[in-house]
Amino acid sequence: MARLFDLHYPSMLRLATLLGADDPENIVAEAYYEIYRKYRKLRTPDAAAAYLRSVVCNLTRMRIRHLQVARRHVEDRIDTVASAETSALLRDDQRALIRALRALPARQREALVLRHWLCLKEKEIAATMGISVGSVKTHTARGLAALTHAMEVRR
Amino acid sequence: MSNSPGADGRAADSPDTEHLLREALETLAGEVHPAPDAYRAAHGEWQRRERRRRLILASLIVAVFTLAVVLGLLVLNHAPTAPGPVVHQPPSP
Repeated sequence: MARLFDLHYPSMLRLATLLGADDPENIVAEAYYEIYRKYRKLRTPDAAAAYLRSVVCNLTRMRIRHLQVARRHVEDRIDTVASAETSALLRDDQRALIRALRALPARQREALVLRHWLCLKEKEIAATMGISVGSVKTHTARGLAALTHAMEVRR
Repeated sequence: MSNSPGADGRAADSPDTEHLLREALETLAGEVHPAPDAYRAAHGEWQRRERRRRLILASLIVAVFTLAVVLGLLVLNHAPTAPGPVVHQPPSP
């Protein structure tokens, strides 16, 4: 379990951050707790990585949805992406792109991050997100089109 | 994949956006560093939650078992004590 943690924890933490989680550490810890409980049922370390990815995606989506609901009821806006958008290392165009990425629907954002950051194949993305390969293609294409449009408007 | 047209048909600009997106994601990811004692903290938390889960499960089992025993005893306590009409043995000579 320690080896699994050392192997995948940094990348899972980054994945949760890129997906827009406001508390990536908690989400990844929760994902590892799920795997800790089901550790004996795992077949291979690769299965563990895929399972972790899937749990991180689901938990992040649930967390963002929860925050969106909370925002409707609370007047104080919860800033979930401040750390990402105020990053000093990002250029202006990159910052605008990340802002546009955050504004995408969760499924499109997940498909794009899994595709362009983790460089997963469509089949792997489909397995991670629990949808069909066709849906992955649709989400990726729509997400990319929306980002392209956002960047064009900015110019 | 990169050549697939978008929902509104913008295929020409996609590679540019894809390249920019990759760069931005990599830059952002490069800024995330895990805490050095993350495993120790996480492991402690897993063990605490697992102990709690098992304790709750054991308590539930004990509660259900106790309830079943008490109900059984109550039913037996309310059963008539007089000999029934079915079992009637004549006194032996």
